Amino acid sequence: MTLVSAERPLVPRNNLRDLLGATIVLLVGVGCYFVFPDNLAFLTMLLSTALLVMSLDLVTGVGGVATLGHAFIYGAGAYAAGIASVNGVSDPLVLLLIGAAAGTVAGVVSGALILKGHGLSQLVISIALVQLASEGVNKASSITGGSDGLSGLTIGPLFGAFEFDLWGRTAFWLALAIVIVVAIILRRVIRSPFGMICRGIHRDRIRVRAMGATIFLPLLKMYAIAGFVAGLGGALQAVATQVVGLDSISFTTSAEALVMLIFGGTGSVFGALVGTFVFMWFEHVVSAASPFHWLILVGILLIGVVLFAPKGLYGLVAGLLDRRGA
Amino acid sequence: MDTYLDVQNLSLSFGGLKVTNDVSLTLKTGSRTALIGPNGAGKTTLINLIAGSYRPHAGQIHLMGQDVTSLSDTERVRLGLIRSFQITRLFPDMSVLDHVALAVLQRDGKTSGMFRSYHGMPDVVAEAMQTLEKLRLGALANHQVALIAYGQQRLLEIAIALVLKPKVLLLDEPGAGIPSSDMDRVVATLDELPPDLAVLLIDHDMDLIRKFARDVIVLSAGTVIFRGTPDKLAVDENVRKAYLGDEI
Repeated sequence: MTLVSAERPLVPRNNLRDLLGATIVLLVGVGCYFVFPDNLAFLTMLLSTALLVMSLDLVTGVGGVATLGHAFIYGAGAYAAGIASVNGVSDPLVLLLIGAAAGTVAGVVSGALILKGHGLSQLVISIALVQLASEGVNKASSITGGSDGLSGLTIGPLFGAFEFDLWGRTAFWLALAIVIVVAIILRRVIRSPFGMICRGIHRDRIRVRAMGATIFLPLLKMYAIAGFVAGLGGALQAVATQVVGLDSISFTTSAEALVMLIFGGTGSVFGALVGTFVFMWFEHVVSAASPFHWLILVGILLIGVVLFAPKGLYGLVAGLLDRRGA
Repeated sequence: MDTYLDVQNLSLSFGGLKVTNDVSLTLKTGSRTALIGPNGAGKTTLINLIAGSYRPHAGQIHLMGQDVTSLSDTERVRLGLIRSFQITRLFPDMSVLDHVALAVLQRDGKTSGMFRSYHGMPDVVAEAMQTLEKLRLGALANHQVALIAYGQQRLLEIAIALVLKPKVLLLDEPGAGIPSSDMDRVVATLDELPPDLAVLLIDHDMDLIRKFARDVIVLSAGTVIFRGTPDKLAVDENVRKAYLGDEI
């Protein structure tokens, strides 16, 4: 009963955590930049994947929608930006916006389809969606480059001043800035009345309906926001690497995103970030050290997290902080 | 007096079992009606039918003169038909205040806001806190619901229902699970309900029913077997048979 003190102010603590979280992401980002200057391309890929995982968290962790096809949205953003670039659009920010817009459309489309199902049928629809999209992109090789991928993207300088150089410095800073801004905005969205309704739908639909709220519309809106974020992530990946491959719109990428999310902890933006960071570093380091056995280690780590930290790595830390009243 | 809720010849069968059999009832302005009956009589089913969670096989439901039979549960809530649940339905990871604030926001159509937390809306917090204080839950406002006692969760259910500003309120055993030491809060809350509100209350606690209800409807095997005032209830032959069996 008295596990939590009643008078604890919740509001300032949330704003404090926003700031603290953003600062930590920034510090880790800056630290990585100086400690691993040769790994900037990897770090940028990590950051664009973080956008995909945060987006997945909005529909799965917050809204409770089961999906294994979220890379459909990420890929839509990547291919939209890639195709626009090949056809003469070179401003990186315009390309990102095109990707985000395509992602929003893809998000609404997948939401409208997936939300028609429940539980397992949602999973089946989502897998079908990403597989169909992947096959469609593969077949439309005259536009998308098919299985060879889309290459030859020419990206102009950022703000007309910063070239996307061979070392990926501009891309890295751009990605870091986007991730931090998106993370802060999404944390606010999750806490907003709209976010509360979505969280409520996840926990108990009947209770939400008894309050007079509908189920479909809020979740579809959440899918649109998630679409924007994942589309942005896909476009960022296209701009940074200047190629777009079929793997960006694959089932494997969708499933990996879900694994990363579970790793870090569902339902929270920082959980998505922590999960992406830890999983991708682990994969990066262990796959280099042991190319044949790294998946076994990833599997063991995942089982460990699910068994001993069911709320994910961030959930574990946040739980400890809560208990200390921080 | 206006009729707030008018239920006509409602029927529902699960397979061959008639769980609701040609039930009619009306709740007028300010009605305080208790719905009682032995276990399995179909009381909660009737609430589910009226609230729109189930669709009847026959019959009509009118709310404030409007036919709502084909409307969804959500649409009925928006017209002022609010229910509480026999077994609490809450969001375990949210705070007590979150629940009531969310109900306030939803009632006022403010749940599309995406960037501002309700903590920055003083009128929402004030109204939610006021309702919680009334049920003496104020001190628990920032507690996570999973960590408060079941009886307190029951009171929170009532708080949510009240804040939605019902015209017709369906309370499904609001007293179940509330320790007798806290029952006075429930009684006091029921006493203070707006006078024009029409209330249909399911409960087994005859004490509560005698204090609260002006009319009683007894349901047995899906059929209404008694309508009348609480004092006539104890002497009614059909009611005795329903509760005690034929042999006595």
